Amino acid sequence: MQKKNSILLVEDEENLQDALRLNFELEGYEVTSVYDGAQALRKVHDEYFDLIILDVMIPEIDGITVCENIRLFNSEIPILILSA
Amino acid sequence: MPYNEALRKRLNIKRPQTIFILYWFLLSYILIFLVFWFEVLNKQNDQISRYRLDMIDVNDPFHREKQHEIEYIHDRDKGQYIGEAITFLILLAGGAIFVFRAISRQFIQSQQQQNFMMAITHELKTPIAVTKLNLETLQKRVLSNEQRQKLIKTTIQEANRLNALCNNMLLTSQIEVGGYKIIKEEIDLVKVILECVNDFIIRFPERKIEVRLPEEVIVTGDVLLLQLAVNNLLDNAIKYSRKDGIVLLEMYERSKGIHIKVFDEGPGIAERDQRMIFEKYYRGSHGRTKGTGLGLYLTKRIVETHNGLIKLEMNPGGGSIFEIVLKTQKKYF
Repeated sequence: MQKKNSILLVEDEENLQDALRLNFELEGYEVTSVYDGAQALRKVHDEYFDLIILDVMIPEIDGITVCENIRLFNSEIPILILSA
Repeated sequence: MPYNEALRKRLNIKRPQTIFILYWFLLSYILIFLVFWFEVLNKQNDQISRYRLDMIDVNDPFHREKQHEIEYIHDRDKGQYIGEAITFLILLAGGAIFVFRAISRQFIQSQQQQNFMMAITHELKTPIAVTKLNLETLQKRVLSNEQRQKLIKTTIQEANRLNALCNNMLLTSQIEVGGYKIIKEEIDLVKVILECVNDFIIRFPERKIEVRLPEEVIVTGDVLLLQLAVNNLLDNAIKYSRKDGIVLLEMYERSKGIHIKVFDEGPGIAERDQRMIFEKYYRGSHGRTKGTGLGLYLTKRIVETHNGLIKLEMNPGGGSIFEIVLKTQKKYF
């Protein structure tokens, strides 16, 4: 069986996170979700993801700073930023 | 970095320093010029006196009187321009303080409004985004009954959130311009609070919400406003505490007043935020906390309208305790 593509979803709004997760899972992706910037950075260090979906206004470290930090050690992974 | 600081950087919103630099430059220029002008006048006065003293003929029988007169005129003129300089300095200082305070106030207000606009954009757009996404999911996907029910439930939650936000915004502006007509009536506060709590239990069935209420507490007040105040406190307690944390609402009556306490097991409120938390547009942790900064401000205004007071204490076991104290008297208006 083909391995599912994985997505890291960084969103602190629970309802938005649930709705996005449901849609991506129905599309056949494997979704890991976290609520803040610090958790997101730890996850990216520890695991491999095919795509990161990143909210801008998240607790601990804001989305843009998370993106900058990820880019310091990984320039390949696509990051999709969610903004208002 | 706090949200607003981060956003301000990204959006390239600069703090308006130019006007302050110009202000201090002009003020220093005027002061330096004042000192210079004083020195010139002083020298001129001394020179004139010296010249006039030199002109006196020492053989003149009245030369002593003339000398005294010249010295008197010299001192009088000196006193006159010292007086003028002091008056000018006082006026200048008064004007400078007034202008400085006016500019500072205006900057603080515009900054608060800018923060408020950023906050409100986020607070409005998130429930709209969730609602839209949920409805589109319901329309396009084949879902199980459980999934459908969950999406409907969260959509209703977001609609309620928008409704509460609009109520807070509307009431804040109405209370501020005096457009809201307070309807006085005798109400059972226990019933009002129970309605609020039940609403939260329905909205957040997975959360632990506990109440400790007496049988009946009759007060004279505005039902809508008091409901809003209690809702704001409960909403904050749920929003800012752990999912498994207990939110407790306790009400008791003492001889001096009716106490309504909302306990949460959240992270608590930093000391620097505690004094400011009831200020309009203020949000904790340098604007890092989400929200509009209206909820607690409005709650405080509502409580004050009912001649009560609102307090914040830190829960010894972790979290915060917000307490409303209403006077035990029949009429609150």
